[in-house]
Amino acid sequence: MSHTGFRIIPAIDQSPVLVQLAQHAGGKMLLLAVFAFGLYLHGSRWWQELVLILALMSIWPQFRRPLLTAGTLYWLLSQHTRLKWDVLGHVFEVQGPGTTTSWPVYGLSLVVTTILFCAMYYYLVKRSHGTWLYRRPVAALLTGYLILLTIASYAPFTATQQAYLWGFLIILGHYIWFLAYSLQDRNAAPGTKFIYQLGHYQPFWGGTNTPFPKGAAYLRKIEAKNAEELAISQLKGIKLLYWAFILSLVLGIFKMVVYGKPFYNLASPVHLALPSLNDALAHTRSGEPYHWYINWGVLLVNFIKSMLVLSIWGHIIIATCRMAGFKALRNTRSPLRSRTIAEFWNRYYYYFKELLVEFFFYPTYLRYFKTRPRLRMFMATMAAAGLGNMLYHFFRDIHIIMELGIWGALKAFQVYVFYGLLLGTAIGLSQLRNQSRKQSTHWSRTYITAPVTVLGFYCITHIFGLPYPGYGLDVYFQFLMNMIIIRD
Amino acid sequence: MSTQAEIRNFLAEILNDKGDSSGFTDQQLLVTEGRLSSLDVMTIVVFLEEKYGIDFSDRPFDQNEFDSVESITALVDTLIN
Repeated sequence: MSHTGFRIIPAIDQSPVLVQLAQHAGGKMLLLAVFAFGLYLHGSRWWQELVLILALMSIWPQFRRPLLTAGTLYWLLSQHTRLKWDVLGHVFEVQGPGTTTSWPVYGLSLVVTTILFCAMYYYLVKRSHGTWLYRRPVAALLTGYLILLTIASYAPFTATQQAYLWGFLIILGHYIWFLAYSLQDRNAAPGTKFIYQLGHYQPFWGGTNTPFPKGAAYLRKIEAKNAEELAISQLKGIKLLYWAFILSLVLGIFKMVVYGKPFYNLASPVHLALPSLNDALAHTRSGEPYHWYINWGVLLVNFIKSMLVLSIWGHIIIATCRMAGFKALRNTRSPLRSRTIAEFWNRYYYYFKELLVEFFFYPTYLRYFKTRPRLRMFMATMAAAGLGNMLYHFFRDIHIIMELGIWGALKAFQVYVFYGLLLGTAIGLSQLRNQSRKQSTHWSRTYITAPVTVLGFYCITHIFGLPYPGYGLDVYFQFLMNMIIIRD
Repeated sequence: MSTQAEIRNFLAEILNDKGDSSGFTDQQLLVTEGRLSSLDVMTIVVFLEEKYGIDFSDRPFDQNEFDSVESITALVDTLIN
């Protein structure tokens, strides 16, 4: 085993003995047991099902794709968080056809309609050589989706018609970025038939509307090609799962110390008793803000908590993906090591960044401002971190559009619009700065100035990117102002 | 110098600038392995635009085509010919 210094989790994937062991039946069983225990430690409610699918994929790697599809289908039907079943259920009960049809018929008809739509659109694009649709299928899809949202918001449909339209839009919205990857992969060689691509639409290892890890073409590239690659991938998966467990212990202790929340039945005798960020914003809104130092504490604690939560969540997903035989990169990779604003963006939420790069950055960069390199880079970054970022979250929060209509939702979205513009500008400038000059390697810049600037920027601005709590931009600014206004 | 050699040298230059001097083969998937970022892919695009006069604006763009020396060379050959 190679040693490059102390590691909390040993580099088991670099041990020839373990790699060899993991290729035999006994070794595979051992890996699965260790992984199952890791999932259990994480409190996964589905660890038995997950391990069963992973076991089948380990035993018959030649059937990995059909098993992936079967696992994904099982997960889709068994997990209530998938497909926003709860939101659909609400539409069905309140708005919809509850008196004329049953819930399974309603849900199933929407799923089938969405699959048919995706398949038809995919093949339409594939056969439209030389047309605008062929060159810009994702732009056409997103524009069409926005138009349908507008129609659903304002067209005078009956309640039943609305329920079906919203239902379709909810499911399509959930899978829209998966379809986008399918469209991008349509010419990849060797291709994946659309029916098999459906198996990658939010695979059983988890994720959100953001495809983890990207589309079918990418999965094909990172798939273990032989027993040794599978063994290494699985050992890396175990390593990542247990690293995530250590982070979750850190998070538990952190919450105990900060909020006084018991951790494994342990309670801290002293804790900071800090309010939550939502609580602090609510106090600001009601005109009774907390003291400046409390607001600073709230901001810092929430930022650290967000980083830990995202890391743990992403690590568990990627660990499971690696156990399934796909050598995916981590979603979060040492964000504290970032020395520029652009680097943090790359390290913090890799697959979301990749989505924005593929569908917004590249198209803008390749088509516009080609004679002005700096403007070209800035605008492409703005298109990704600004426009793409806003659009992604706008579509994701479809329940707000349903509640307020598209115009009302746009107004409610002002905080995120501001965040997108701020982020786009900052990352764009950071990219230009990186291009224009070599960074100083002086220790003070490496270890003090750069991290403080980068982390400080994200720490302060991350509050604008939090899920919609219903406050206007003024509340956030007031909250930040209260951090520098020192009162008795 | 052949197209493949020019591309290999250019990728080596990018990796060197990032402090990555561990070497690579022509088949190695450098983007997939995380050694080249999306920004590096754009640097390669600019290099190909300037060096070979390729216009990427009117064709579907696939990052996978920029993953290795071999795939980039194949792409250049296709687009030039």
